Amino acid sequence: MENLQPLNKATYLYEVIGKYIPSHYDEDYFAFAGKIVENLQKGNPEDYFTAIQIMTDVSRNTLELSEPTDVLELFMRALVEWRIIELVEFFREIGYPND
Amino acid sequence: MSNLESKARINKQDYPVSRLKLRAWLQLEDVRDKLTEAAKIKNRDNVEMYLCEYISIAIPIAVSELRLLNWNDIARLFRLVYNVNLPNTEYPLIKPRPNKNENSEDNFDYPGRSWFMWLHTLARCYGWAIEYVAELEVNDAIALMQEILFSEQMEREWQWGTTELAYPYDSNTKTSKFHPLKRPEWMQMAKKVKEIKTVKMLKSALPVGVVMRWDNGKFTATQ
Repeated sequence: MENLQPLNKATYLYEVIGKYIPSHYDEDYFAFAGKIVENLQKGNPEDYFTAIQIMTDVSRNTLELSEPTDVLELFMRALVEWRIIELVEFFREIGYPND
Repeated sequence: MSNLESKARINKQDYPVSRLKLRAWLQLEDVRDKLTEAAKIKNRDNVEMYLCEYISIAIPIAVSELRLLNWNDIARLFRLVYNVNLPNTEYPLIKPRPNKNENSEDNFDYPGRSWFMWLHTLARCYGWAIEYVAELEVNDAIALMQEILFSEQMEREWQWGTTELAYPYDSNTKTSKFHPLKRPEWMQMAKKVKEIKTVKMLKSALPVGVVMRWDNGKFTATQ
């Protein structure tokens, strides 16, 4: 059985990034992802790296040595792979706070 | 009542998703309560455990196997089990209502008490065996429970009406007035709101002069 996106990692990811995900999704994925990055910049920048590490298993050291645009691309791709909209929707549905 | 069964596809294999009978359904609801509590306090391990436990009550698959699935499969299965076992929420008894006092839990409460409360009430009223009560359809059990509680309330109200307590003396008016026994919240919710009748007003009671109406952010004068 594949276990690339286990539940405990998804819960941790939600805890880290959930508060930065807008509650309204208007089907323009790039605008939506841009809003997440904007919210992350206003919030704790550590959360950006932690979220990428949870989703990709890439080490912090590698991320710091990479080009910022490559890291951003990795982040965007990972958000799609992890179905972040559905993930956040599910955890909000079961009453998991994201403050 | 329908006894629908759905199927859940997990790793290319189909599993039946049962519509549970009363005892198992109450167990399912207990686990859901625990899940909500764990989520509220952000207890990640317990959230994972209760999500898997919830699914495994209705789908014959071990918790250890469920833990190996991706989060989106768990979410899909959770929703499926929830929807298949959703009772008819039209019963006032189980209609969601605002919780006035969350700390009003009985101090003699214990895990799994809800099942014993249902069993006690149904068995006491109809003389049914544990096995029979456990296998009741959820919607039937809720309807019967509602009827039992309602007839008990009617009896209590009648008894209340025969006591002096129901007619407190008002020293100002020097009379006793009947005070009905308060009904549980779910019975009050079931009351239908009376429609307000349209009544004709006397011309002399109508406002004099030009009447201005506030409509869409503008004042308009009525004709």
